[in-house]
Amino acid sequence: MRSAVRSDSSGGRTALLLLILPPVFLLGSLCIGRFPIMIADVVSAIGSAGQAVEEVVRSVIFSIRLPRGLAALLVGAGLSVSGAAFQGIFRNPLVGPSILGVAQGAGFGAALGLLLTESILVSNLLAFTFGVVAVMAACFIALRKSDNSLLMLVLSGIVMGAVFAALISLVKYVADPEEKLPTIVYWLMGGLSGVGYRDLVFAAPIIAIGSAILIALRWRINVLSLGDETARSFGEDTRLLRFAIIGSATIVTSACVALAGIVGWVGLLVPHIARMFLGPNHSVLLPASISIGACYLLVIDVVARTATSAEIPLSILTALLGAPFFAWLLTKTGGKWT
Amino acid sequence: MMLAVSNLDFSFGTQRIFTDISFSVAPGEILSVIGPNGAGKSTLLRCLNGLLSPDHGEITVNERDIRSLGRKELGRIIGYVPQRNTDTFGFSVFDMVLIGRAAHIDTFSAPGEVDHQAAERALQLVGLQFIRDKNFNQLSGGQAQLVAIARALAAEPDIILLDEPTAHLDIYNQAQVMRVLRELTDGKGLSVIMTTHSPDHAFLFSSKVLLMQPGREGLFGPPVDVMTPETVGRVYGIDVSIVNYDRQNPIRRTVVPDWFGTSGTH
Repeated sequence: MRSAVRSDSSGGRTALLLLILPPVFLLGSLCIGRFPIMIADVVSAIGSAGQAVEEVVRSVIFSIRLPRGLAALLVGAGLSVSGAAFQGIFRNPLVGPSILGVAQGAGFGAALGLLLTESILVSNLLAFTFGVVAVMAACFIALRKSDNSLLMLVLSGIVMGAVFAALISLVKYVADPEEKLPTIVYWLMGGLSGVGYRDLVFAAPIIAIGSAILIALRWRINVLSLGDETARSFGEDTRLLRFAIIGSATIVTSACVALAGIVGWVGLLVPHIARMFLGPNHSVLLPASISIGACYLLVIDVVARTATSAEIPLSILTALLGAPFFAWLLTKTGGKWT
Repeated sequence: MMLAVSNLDFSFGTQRIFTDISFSVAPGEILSVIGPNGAGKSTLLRCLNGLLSPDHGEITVNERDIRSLGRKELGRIIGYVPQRNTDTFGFSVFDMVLIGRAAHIDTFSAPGEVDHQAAERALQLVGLQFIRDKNFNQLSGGQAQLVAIARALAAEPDIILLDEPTAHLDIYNQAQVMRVLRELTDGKGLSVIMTTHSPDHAFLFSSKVLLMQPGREGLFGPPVDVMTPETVGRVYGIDVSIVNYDRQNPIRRTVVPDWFGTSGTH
């Protein structure tokens, strides 16, 4: 990290700040809601594992807000780190984590699960599986043309995205409009209401492992961002590396969609914010995207559950906030990112 | 390290790009590769560092076939300065140079102290340590080219390949680049192989020249032997005179093309 930040001490301070921000935000989010809880009560509840506070406070903190807050942190971090990695390897700051069709694939899997079963677990599993299947199909199409060009990969991703978007429509079309259709539509709009530890047990390890691989490879993304030929001339096995990164980002994004539905804009926007503050070096950008993305989605989710008496779907908020912010970014930079 | 190439042929599909290229480069030598557009100069460089595979022929480094070397090993021996140096994100100059260390760094590792020092040294070799924190995308063409050279040097290679390093540069920056390359070959024993569209540079700076002629074998040797009005005129398809403009120094020659086909009439 030291090369991007001039002195070691200021780099250390930045790292420390990025490390403590998510837990601080999480603690704050436990206080906020229709049933406000004092920060002191939250702290004593956590300190004593709930023994020192009223039953209702303990229940709100540990059964509702904590799993939901953890899920928001995980999904925000996962989408952001995948987005940062994809922007790097596709050499394009305008791509998001779903460029290869993973969101539509996962969305289809979830919709299918909701249509055919009552089981959330099955829906989650199907969402994860079809997210991975969509990207594998895109990679398979791209690999059939052996020169392995990025453009081919992106176009194949758009194709798979379109195919799975159509399949989602098909599922909606055949779904029972009284019962199943609303569930599917709400799920696809994204949200974390009702997320419990059971869902986290499934998604958290996948998001953690995938993100860890991306973090381990983060400096290599600098090399890949110079283009295939230059990277290979520096001794890089670009094909292997690129598929390792695509694979990791795909399992992370699929798990995020399985947990929270399709939440747009986070993976596109957060890496930009991180880049504005800390520069383009992926050694710094990826860890920073994790921290900022986690906090960002946590804040959005708190707004989603507190702003009105009903839940606001996450994707509505992320787009309403994200799109104008991105427009502002565009006008400010004129489309140049450096 | 000795780089030797024998009887190299290369085709894209059915289209033959170049044929029967043979040459060798010893430590401390500068080889200029010249020839008309489409003669395969850049393609030849890409064969030399293993980005492309020739149809026939052999490329050896210290008598080892480069096909027997791994990608990483080749990346440590042969540095490459591409023709276009694009950077989507605007890395700092130092981060850019550090990328040249890739072949020395394990896949799951980040650059360490050794790599930082090597990048620092490479920047010093091109005399640009004072812009280490600048944004690469905001550099002038000359500085960007020198940084790209530093990036290749950071790998501490024995041979460095440059694809038209002086294209798009003004005469001052051309001289800067050539001076740096001369220092590296004279002082450090590095071998330099560069493509160029300027036969004059080949006369001024090279120990050897490879003249690539479309459809025929390449001509290889000292510049004054290889580049005669006959060979240069034939390869480029335009009448040329070759003028020695410094009687004290017979290698200082310039190629004067006869643009309007009026040679001898004025």
